[in-house]
Amino acid sequence: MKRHSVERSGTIIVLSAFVLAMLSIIAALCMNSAYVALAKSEMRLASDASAKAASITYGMTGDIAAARLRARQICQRHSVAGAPLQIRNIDVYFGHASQNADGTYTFTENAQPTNSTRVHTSFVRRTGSVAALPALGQFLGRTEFELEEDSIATRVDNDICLVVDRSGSMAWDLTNELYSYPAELHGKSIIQNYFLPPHATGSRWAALKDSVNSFLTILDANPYQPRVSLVSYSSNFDFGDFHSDVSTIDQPLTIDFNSIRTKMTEIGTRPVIGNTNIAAGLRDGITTLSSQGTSRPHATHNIVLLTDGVMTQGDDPVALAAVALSQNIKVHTITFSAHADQELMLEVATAGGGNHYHAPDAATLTSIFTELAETLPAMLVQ
Amino acid sequence: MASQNTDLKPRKGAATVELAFVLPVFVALIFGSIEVNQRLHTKQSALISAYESCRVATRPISDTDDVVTHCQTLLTQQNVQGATIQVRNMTQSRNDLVDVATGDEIRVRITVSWAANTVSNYVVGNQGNFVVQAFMLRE
Repeated sequence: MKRHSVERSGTIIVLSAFVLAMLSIIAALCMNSAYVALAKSEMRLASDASAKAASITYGMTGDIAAARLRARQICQRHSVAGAPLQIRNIDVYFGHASQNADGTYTFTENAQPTNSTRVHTSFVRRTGSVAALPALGQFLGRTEFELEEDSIATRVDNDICLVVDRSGSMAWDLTNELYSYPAELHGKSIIQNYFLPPHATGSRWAALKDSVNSFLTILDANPYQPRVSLVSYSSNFDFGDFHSDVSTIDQPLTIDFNSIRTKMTEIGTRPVIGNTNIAAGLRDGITTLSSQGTSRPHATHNIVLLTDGVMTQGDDPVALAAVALSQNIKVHTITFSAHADQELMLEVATAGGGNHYHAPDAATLTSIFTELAETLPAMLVQ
Repeated sequence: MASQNTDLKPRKGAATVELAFVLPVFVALIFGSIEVNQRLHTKQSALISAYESCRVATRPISDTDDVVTHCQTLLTQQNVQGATIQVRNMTQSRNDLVDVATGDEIRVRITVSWAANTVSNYVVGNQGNFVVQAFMLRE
């Protein structure tokens, strides 16, 4: 019996050693898995931020070298598994990503028009190269690990419709006084001024024309080629030789922005007459952005609706803005002048899923159009 | 029977001694494993919050409050405690998004206390704070 008990002493140690080894392996696997998952998230973040930086910089400058540099800088800001992640210029690709029927995107390198950037990241380019597993690597048969990620940032195609007010008040000056005409027209008969073209520099129309020009200039420099259409509205009006249609599609969607500048100039060479039928202009705006052939189905669609006054006729623009939103068309509104119905236009923008801006003066109007032109969104698609 | 009782005593003692040796190792292994994995999980959660918040910060109409609120919501949802959030415009060297311009570099930094996010710190100990951050350009 004594001999027997001596043989069994130490069994706890043996059993414990076995259980300890098993537990250690399980703990090491858990720890390594969690560590690799964390490193993968860090890498995804660095990769996504880098691709987005390249896309935004390219959108702003059109300069591939500058976009690559910015992507590298942003990438290096991020640490992965304890060391900064680096990429090379050749890890940043430019091309075109098109949307598939299932909603995913396919990236084609060097395809035109350029709307996407792809960034490839790898531990090979990470400072310190591959990363060590934190626990029992040798015991598990692997002491280090490698990760690779690809991120694609796509600048979504943009179709924009400018819906501008050409009612009689657009010929007034910028003093915010009713029926006040600029420069040499000031003080003359209102009736006489009403049937004259808006003043070339001092009228609200002239300020709008300058703002639209700034807007188009920024879009001109945008390598992602947005398309813009122009709709103008007032009301049906006939008086002798003077005629006004309630709303006209002056320019369907185009990438030739000079044609829009020309149309704005042409409108300004005739008397701007009639009342304010906002819904009519909005309806034509929706038409230009939903017409097959010119409107791109996968583009984002935005209407920029401007008025300097109060709706005097037509149906409810708020309900129409909701219809636009249901067709994936966002409606942004701008009120220009102190007499504009800001409350209504805020409602229109809210119903249309867009933003409302108010411009009390010409400088603010230009800054609003500038902001709108510069804020075309970049989107990560992978 | 008497001899059997006598023989059992040394075996019982040996088992107790052996257990006394291995038990601390077991406890250290189990608690160490829990603490390390919990910390990795907390860091992962904070990192995801920083990433998503930074994406909010890059949107053209977002302001500082939008980003901080979004970040706090995400941290709460992921049960991360004791975090401080900083939104910084690196380009303009200011800790808010006032007057932020397209292309400005935005950083969202989250500082998290280890102690506030662990059930125990017997093995790994209190390691102060850890920091996660995300950098992106303003759209």
